[in-house]
Amino acid sequence: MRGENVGRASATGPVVVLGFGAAAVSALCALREAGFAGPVTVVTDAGPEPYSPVLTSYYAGGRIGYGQCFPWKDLDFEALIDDLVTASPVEAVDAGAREVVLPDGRRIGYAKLLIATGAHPVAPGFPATAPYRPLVLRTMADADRLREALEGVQRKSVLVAGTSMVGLKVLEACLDRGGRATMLGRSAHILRSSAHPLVAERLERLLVERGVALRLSQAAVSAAAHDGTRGCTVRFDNGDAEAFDEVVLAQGARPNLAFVRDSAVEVREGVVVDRFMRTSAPDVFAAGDVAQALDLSSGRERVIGLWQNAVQQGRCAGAAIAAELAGRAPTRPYPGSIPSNTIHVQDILFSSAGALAEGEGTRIEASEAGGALTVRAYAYRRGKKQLVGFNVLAVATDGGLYGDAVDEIGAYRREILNAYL
Amino acid sequence: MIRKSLCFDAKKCVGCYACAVACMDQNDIDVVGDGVAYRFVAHVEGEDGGDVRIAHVSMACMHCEAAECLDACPAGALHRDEASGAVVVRRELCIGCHACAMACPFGIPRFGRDGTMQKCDACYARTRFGYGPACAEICPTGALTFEEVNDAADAKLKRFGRSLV
Repeated sequence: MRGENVGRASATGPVVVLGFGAAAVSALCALREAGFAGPVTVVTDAGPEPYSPVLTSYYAGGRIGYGQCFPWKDLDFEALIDDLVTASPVEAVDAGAREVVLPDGRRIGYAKLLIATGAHPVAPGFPATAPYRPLVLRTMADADRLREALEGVQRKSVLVAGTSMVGLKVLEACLDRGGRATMLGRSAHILRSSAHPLVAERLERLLVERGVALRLSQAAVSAAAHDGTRGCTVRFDNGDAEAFDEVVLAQGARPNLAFVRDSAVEVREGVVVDRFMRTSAPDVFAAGDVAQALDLSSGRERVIGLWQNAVQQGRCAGAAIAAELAGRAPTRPYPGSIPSNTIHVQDILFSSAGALAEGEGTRIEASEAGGALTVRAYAYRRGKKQLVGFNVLAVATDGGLYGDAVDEIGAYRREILNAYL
Repeated sequence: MIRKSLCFDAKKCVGCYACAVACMDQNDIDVVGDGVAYRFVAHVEGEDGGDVRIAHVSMACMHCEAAECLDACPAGALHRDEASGAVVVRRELCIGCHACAMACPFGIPRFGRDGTMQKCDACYARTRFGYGPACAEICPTGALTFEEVNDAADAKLKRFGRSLV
């Protein structure tokens, strides 16, 4: 790869990929598999080897080593990429001139452009903590900082602000390191968007049994950094104040799209795409955590930031780009997806897919078997009972095994998908 | 490239479990101890013109052409073996996140006490040397076979054709 060989714009410029995560790598593979032999340039604000953000909490908690965070070790990137521009954010996309602008003024022309820049953590409403800088978790740099903080965390207290999936994984990393963790959330229950209250209550009880303190239906109103040591004292809206050695913000993520603000690329929640991941701008595609694609369960276009979605959207985009450059219409559309996730926190496993909102025409059924709690949501459509969402919560027993309910999660998800496809 | 594939004919399966036992033997699986079985035999009851009909289905990983588990794994623990086409797990990379279990519609990924995923690898260590998978080699009725995909499709078409005449 020739890092400095960045060409000028031309009508027959390279395929340019912004970002170097799951969607980008998947698109690169699909491009080459489809026979595209032309030049490909990748621009990333990270290093020369793509990492998996999913693995960062495992690394921070000490479950895996640094080298295991890079899951594409077998790929021949020399064959996939001609020019790799690393450690460089993107300043702008000039869709009219078909150019990408870098902060140093360099311009890279493209024949086709894929935006796959991922997302970044956000902390809406958390008070300022300066000069103490709270931790977040997304990039390898974030993971390094969190790991360093957690390595000395034994018997120290950590506030995890946010009850998201990332928040739970941070909690696990903290517990793995022997820290005392407190989870803070504005909602009455954790995992508000994916867990039914029955399941959330059970999960909360399990966390408390493992030493986690929960501050739910609460918000931080102010924070004062400690003198000479790490951490800060946080005051909550119920009048409590508590000192923490570390604060981790895990309240959600937003697409990395600041650079498309002036372009012709339509952005709402994310970049608006069609079923071939084409944006509103000619020859510009988007995939992964930046793309607002079809959510089959709601029928709306929205960002569903999942690894599998990123891989499948990237593949779709890469194949579509290759087809269009060969003068053909793309033929393999992205079929859409449903929200789905699995997460384990130490010996607890939580799985969810689809929609669990109770309402008219929806019936919730709960069952327990083999130590697992299963909640299923059914909707009645044209007189037929249809599974539309589920939660499974299980605790490992028998020396580490989960019950039979966990073996069903793939079939449940497929049943929901089949209703929409 | 034409690859051989595991093929299953439910009409020939008598539910004898020879395939499951051969699989355990080949893979040194101790299901009483820490092991997780890779192959299962399901018994399905149904009605056929008022008669009760029992079918037996031997199941393991299908090594799907568009394997969703491959897309879902965020750890690089799953890959496709180029030579055999089998979807293979590298347990040393598995983080036990169950994303593969969520993606697989057949409930194939199973997790042992060490938390890592285990499943059939189509005996790729055998097939690369010209042997068939242990389950197909042992099957006494020919329900499980290891044959070229085109041959299997051709046999299926012939069976269908015979049912018409």
